[in-house]
Amino acid sequence: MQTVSSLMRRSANKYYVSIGSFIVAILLTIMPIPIWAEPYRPEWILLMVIYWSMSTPRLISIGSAWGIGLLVDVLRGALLGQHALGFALTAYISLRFHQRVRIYPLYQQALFIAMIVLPHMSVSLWVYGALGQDPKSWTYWSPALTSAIVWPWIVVLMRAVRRSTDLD
Amino acid sequence: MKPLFTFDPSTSSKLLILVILSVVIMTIDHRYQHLQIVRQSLGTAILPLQYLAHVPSAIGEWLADNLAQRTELIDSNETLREQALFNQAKLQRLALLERENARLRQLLDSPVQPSDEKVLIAEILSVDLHPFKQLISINKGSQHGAYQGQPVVGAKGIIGQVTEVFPFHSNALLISDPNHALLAENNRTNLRALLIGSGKADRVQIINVSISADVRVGDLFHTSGLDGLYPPGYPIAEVTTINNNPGEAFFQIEARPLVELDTIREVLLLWTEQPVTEETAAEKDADRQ
Repeated sequence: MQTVSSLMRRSANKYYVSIGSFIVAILLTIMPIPIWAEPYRPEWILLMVIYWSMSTPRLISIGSAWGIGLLVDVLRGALLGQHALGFALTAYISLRFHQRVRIYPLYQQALFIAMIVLPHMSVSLWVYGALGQDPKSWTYWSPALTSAIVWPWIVVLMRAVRRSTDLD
Repeated sequence: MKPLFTFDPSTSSKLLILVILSVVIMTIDHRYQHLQIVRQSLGTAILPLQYLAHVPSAIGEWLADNLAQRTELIDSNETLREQALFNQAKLQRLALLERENARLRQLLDSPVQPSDEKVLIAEILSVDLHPFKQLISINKGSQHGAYQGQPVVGAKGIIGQVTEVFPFHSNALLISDPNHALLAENNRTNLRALLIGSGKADRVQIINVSISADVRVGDLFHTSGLDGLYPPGYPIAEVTTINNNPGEAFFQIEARPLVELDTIREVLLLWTEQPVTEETAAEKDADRQ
């Protein structure tokens, strides 16, 4: 039997861990890296949104995903709402399919990640196109690939973090 | 029986509302200034994280500075001293020329008066170099007097302009951004042409130069001062390739920015004129009456 207080402590813990993971994701997004690697930077923040909406659907709603997207807009100097739209869409897709995808093996999950990062990038591309700023380069799509590559590591790492912070 | 895959149907309507909301605020953000306050507050809230992300590279620089060999330091000190002496000698000549220039302009009754420019050194917090966006974030904001459209220069030439000002930091668009354009002038022939970014930090394009114009590889382009943004006379880029497609009326010219835009650490903010604020506009109105 679990006491109410231990459940409450656990949900508070979860809250802190998710905030911490988003801060790390933001740092990874704005950290300076060599210029040749810049187009291949994975969509860390989006991956965190996907991770939390798949593992703990109660914790993250598409509303909060939208808010995080707004923060990314400010970080990237994009139009307000540009990434927010894609983030809400991605959260929606991952919430919709989380029960199915969660039991896939990691490499199949990675393929799924590549596929749900694409809608977000297409939305962003449409907005850039509408503003007349289309990237004109195939490297625009490379974050979808690198995000899929880092996904299994994120899952393994987060599993370890959750175990050590007594969340599971 | 309870269905196995449950999904709250209200989420779909929530998504629809958020999509509409996104489109609405994108439109407002693109056309009007009402959302500046949202951007400003979110940007300021994120600033500590930007400083935090800057820490590893700052530590690297600090270590490099502190672990340098003594002989290296003496060497670099020597070179810097020589350079300072050299620059001082050049500056003396410049001061003389400036005075002479001012006197000649007075004789000619020219409205253009050389003005003293205020500058401020800013450090780069983060760099966002994508094929479609070339943006840097610097640690000076409206509290330090930075304003939108302010020129940002490096030791060797123009870097870009401030596009977004937050209270304690600001974002600047590099000249290599595909959306950045400025009116440049050829140092050798005074030919004026538009210089636009290419999305690559080491390349800009000079467009609409007719094939009968006199342009050569190695020509230096500097700011013309006619775009109302950049002060005249600052070097920008050196021509690297000139292509002439038969059948086209214009050259395809590529140039390399003199400042290595991907390795800069510190930049200079220039105050070319008073930014037009409501106060100064009111003052001007008062003067007129």
